[in-house]
Amino acid sequence: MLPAFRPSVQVEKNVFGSSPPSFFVGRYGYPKVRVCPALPPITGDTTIYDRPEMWNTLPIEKVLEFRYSMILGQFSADVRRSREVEVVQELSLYDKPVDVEINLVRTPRQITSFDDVLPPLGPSAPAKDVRICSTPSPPRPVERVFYETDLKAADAMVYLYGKGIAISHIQKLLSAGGLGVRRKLVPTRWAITAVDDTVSKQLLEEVRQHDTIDQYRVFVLKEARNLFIAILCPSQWSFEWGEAWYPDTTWNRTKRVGVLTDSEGFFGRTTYAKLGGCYYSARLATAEYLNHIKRQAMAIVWREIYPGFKIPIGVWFVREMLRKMYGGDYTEFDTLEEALKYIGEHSSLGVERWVKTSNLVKAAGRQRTLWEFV
Amino acid sequence: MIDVIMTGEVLKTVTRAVVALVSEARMHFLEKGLHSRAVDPANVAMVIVDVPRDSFEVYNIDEEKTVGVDMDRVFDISKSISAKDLVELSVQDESTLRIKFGSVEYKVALIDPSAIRKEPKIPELELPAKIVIDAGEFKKAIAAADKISDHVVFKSDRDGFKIEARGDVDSIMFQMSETELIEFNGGEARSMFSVDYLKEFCKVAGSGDLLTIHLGTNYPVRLVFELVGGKTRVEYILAPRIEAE
Repeated sequence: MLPAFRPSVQVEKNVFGSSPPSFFVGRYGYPKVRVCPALPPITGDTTIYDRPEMWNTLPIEKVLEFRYSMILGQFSADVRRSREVEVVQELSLYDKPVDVEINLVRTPRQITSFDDVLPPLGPSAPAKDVRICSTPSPPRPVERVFYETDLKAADAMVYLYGKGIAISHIQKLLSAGGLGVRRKLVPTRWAITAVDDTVSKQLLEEVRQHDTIDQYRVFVLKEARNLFIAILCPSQWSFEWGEAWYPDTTWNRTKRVGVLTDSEGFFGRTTYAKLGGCYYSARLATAEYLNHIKRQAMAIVWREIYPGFKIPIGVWFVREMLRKMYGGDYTEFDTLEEALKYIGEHSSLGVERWVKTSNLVKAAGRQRTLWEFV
Repeated sequence: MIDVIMTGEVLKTVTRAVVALVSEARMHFLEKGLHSRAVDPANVAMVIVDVPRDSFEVYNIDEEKTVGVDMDRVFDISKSISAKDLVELSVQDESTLRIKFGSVEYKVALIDPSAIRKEPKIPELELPAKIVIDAGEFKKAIAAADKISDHVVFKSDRDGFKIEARGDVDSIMFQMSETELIEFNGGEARSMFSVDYLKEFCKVAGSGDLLTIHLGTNYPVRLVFELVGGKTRVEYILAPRIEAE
């Protein structure tokens, strides 16, 4: 499914272009990290190059093409203070492309790097200098939280989300050290999951106060060698995320399908999910849906990753695919058995294998309610 | 007009007990004292809180009155009050709850009681087993069970009271005989419950507090906590889970 792992642009030492805006903060060596403003060497509306919210209708190849053509200028920086911090902080404010000029020490090597949480990154080289050459105006709520230095980062994220600022934009603001009381750079990888976690927790505060749904709802989405399934059960909030990696996929070089699930109960969790960033992205998309319909449910969400899906492309894929799935049609059932039977028609792994691995299917329908006894 | 004074500990206990299940609730200021109850939106558990008039330092109401309160907010505020410090709650008009302690005065907007989820009828349950136990012991048993499973079985028979949890590869058993229990009627009963809820309920209590458990078979359990040296009564009723065959 992949084009060659090769950037599609020719790169010079002096790069000028419109940054979507985009930048990357590394995590190795923390608190001394790499900070890399990024841009494709073209000018114009490049917003889509770094806006996962716009990618859910694109073939993955197209997304990869955007990512390959972004050039990163590397600086090393202390997360607490450095001049580069100011540049990425300014970049993080905008939701429109900004013209940026970067002087690189040498021409970048033609490689691309991949990560399970981050979207792929394009070619990079150490940089001497970076300059922002145009300044659009930032969205008003962003400006407000940026200058409000006694607003806690978590509260700022929730405020921005409530004002309709895109999750990917909030993640950049957090990563650039533009939110919170004691501000510092946050590695991009950590910032992505921190925002998914914080915003979904807030949404769930509300979800837990809503009535339960009346019937079982099943959603199914098949996309890019992935199958997504959600079973929403008429019961109090709890959540499960399951992944089935087939042989010949990113995380599975064995000959057998590997299945893992993790879950949380009504009151949430206190430990980091063993399935990592995807768990939190899936929980966010699910919480958004329940909050939208003003109901609560037990949400069992599974993903099957089929052979050939070989590159880690980042947790945005799970978040945006699930948002797309919840935006589509669902089928209703009276019983869990009927719902599972229906899923059997779509799942290649098979319902039995899922049920064996699942914590929540065992619990579904087992909790009785008080009014059965009144 | 409502004007009452209590210790910080009482206010914190009352609000913590309620926020375990809901974020908004009605508070009834009655002749006999303060009463509040609520059921969680999933209808799995209920909380009933009573603070008798005598538990207050001052209890002045000119008539019985019900107000709608943002319990999350008041619980948050109560966390900054020391246990033994006095705190005054007053309602002068329909719209504001004043909370005064030391030199601090909070004003919290009241919620129209009719906008809050309807209060549950308290189910009449015939529960054969009665177990009285130190709340701290119970809390330890639930914390241990939580490490291996999301549900526990409560069991009572002539031999005593048991809490059992079973994980995939391990299990845990908490057992107290009649002599170790504060009070026990030897009634036969067995039901399964969600650990999540029990864990949340335990947060109001500590060692030294008295817990009375009324247990039936595949029936809701009543957990009655006597807190703050008996000044506050918090009861939780929790629906059972169906045991797997």
